[in-house]
Amino acid sequence: MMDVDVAELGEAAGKLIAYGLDTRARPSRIPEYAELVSRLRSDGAFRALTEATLTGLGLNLLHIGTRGVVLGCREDSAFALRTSDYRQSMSVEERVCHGLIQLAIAAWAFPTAGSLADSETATLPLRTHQIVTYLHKLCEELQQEEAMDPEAATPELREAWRGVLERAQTRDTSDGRRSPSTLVGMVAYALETLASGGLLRKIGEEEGGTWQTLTAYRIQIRELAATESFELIRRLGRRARQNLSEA
Amino acid sequence: MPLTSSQVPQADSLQRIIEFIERIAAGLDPARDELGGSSRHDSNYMRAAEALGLVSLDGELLEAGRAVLALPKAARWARLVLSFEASPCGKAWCLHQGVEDLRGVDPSSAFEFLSDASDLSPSSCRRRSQTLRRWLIDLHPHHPLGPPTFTPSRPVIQGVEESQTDLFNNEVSPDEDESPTPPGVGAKGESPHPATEAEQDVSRRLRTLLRTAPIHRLEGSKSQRSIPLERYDLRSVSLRIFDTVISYMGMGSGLTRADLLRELRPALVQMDPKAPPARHTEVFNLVLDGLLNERERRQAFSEAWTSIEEGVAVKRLLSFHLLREEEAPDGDIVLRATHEGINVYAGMLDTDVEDAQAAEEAILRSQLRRGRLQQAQGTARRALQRSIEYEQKLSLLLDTARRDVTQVDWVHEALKLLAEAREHIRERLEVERELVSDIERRLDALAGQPEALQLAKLRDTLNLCFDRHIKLQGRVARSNEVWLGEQERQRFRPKVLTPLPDPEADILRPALALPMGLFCEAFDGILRWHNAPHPPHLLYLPHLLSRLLAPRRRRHEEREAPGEPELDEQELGETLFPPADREAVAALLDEVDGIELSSLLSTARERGFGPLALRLTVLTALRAFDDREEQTSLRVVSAGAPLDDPDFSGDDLHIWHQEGPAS
Repeated sequence: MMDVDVAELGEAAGKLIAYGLDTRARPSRIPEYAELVSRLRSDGAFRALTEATLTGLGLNLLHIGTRGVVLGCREDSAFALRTSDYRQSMSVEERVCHGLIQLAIAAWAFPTAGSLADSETATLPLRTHQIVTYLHKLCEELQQEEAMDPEAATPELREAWRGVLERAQTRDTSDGRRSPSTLVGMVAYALETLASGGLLRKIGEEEGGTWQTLTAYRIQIRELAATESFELIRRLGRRARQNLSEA
Repeated sequence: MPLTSSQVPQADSLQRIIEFIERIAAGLDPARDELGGSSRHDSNYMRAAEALGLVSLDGELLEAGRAVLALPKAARWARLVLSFEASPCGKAWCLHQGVEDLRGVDPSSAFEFLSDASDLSPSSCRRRSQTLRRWLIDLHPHHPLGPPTFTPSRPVIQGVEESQTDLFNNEVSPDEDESPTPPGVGAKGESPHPATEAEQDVSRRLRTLLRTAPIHRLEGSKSQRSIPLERYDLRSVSLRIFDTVISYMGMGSGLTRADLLRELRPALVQMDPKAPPARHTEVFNLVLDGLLNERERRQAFSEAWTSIEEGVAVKRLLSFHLLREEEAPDGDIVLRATHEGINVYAGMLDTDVEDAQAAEEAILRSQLRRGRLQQAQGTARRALQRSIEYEQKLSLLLDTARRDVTQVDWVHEALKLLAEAREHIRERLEVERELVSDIERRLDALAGQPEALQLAKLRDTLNLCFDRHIKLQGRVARSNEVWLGEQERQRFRPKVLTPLPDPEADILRPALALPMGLFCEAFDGILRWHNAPHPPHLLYLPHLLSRLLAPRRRRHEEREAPGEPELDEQELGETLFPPADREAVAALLDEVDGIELSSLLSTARERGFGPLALRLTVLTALRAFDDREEQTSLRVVSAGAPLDDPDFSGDDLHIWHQEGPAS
């Protein structure tokens, strides 16, 4: 340990994290990155320092592999995608739709735990219209089970699926672009944001835009999003039931 | 009345009959044969085509014949089934066997039938019963209503077809047999609380009434608009919009806003003939935007209403859309009516699809009687639409199964849908069978009259329906197979050891059921976890300064440097070319030197290369053509002549080894 050059180690850790944050950097193209990745696997001190630094930055090391390191954000990380960066001044209904769309994209790509764990089979391409139809259909199923309209006075208590059904699917603006407040616009926006984070790649324009999932997306969902959202949704579900029984 | 000789066919090959009428349609003399038959045969085929109602007594092609030829080849046989079934001979045979259609007729009963029902001599009976038997064996697999249902008196050649037709049919058939009522009707019938039932009725009717509110609001606020609207009836315009939109749904890609305006303009002009043309457009936009709820950016209409529940009044909110715009696959924005919209217009607010269909059929029959063919056309189109809907539902189900078979409840959901679709096809085909023969009869009678044009259009639509039903039937027949295949494939997915949740069942579905207020709390987390880290952009003063102080860039300098391509491992299966092919191609290329691609390919064929290996050969040569490519020792230039090859096209290439001499 005495020989370890702390400054060199720190710089190397910093470089590795910077590469990890650069969605386009790949070890196969940058020899220095490849070297750092193999060092991370073999050098205990380097790994400890890198992980400690990541913890300080609010990041988790999700995966080390041939495509480099995959990082995920914990709460309060400076690198987390913030609501205000995603869309400014969203209404309750818009938040609900945007949130459900993130879950629906993940569920469309990986419907079961098995498909999430199975890294051998390719996922189907993600098509904007298909995802809108998929989400809409799930909501319609819930609507058919529900006989009663919700009470008029309490919009916050209406179920999330109503938010989806109340929204227009598509609507073109005067200059021929899609309106961002429709479901099609929202799904396309979510897919584009995922692509800008290096998780998907656009492969065509048909059916409102078609994207292919990259390995990083599977890792992101499997190592972070699935378990965390599962816990949170379950917690909220319990609270909803409590509220209901109290009322 | 016994069958006469001319009503009983005597020409074994149905395929020949089709070829025969094809020759008539092409204006050729069918008697001057390339059919390879003698003139006696020709007259037999003429008589058979006549008995099927395809040609007239004097050899003119009739509407039924034209209809057969208008169909794609695969559907022609199914159409012939119907022609035979509608012919006197086919009808008499069904009657003789005491069954409803030809599916129930045993081919081996032909002789018995002819002996009983015709005035032919025993020897003719024997000869012609051979023909009938052959026809029925050939036609049975194509019967539009499904596989044969007769119990064979002895083993029949068609056994294979029968045993594989439908694995699951047995499971659902008790339903089909015992409940002639359409599905859904018996299910929700009586309620245990008659008192609340009345309340429910009121609520349901009220909710129905509320859905017409946007239309009344349009008319009601007419006087407040800035344009003079006294002469326009906006309710009428609204209903015309529904009428047109619904009648176009599922026909081609759908109706765009511009199409709709074109369709509606005549009515608008009639309402106010003196108004300038721009006014009509304005009124049209006003009504359509009103129905789309443009004022609230096309969110759902929401109407508050009051229900009385256990003696307490509760204010509730009904949300609905009447029309929607959707993006067609070709990028056009097309209009569609929602279920609510369709029901509001159709005025059949409390009936289910099956009943609606029965109503459609009745309407179509009455329209035919009264000669109201225009509407009949629309009704037929709507029946077609429902077939397409079934097809879409089915394909959605299969799509889901392709992603994950465990998500499809095959036994309850899919089999029910398949049974419904089968029932739908059966009912439609029965109706259309009557209609088509009726229309064709009238069409032959009306030849040349103006009404005939309309009738012919309707016949074409019905023909289209028929084709679609056959397609749907094909899909229905294949679905079990697809599902079983997927089940087999997906069984080998690795079992998960770590307790990962199912993203759909454990996350998305429960999330959909959460109240909106609570779900909002999850939004920040969901966004963060599902997206990659986004490094914030920090302000770096020197860059900012130099950028601010830089001279204004000219347009052409703004072109971005082509960034590094985003390369990533894609999750793909095995490679296209098997290793054996790769070795064979490499060996071949090592051996040859100074050769044209065309002769290289013929050498490769002589060595028995498969299509994949041939393709690899061409690709390897093309790869070497790129002179930046340094991994290969091959040199390739264009030979300056077109490639002479049955499978590939383009320039011929000259190939030699880099070290070797260029010949």
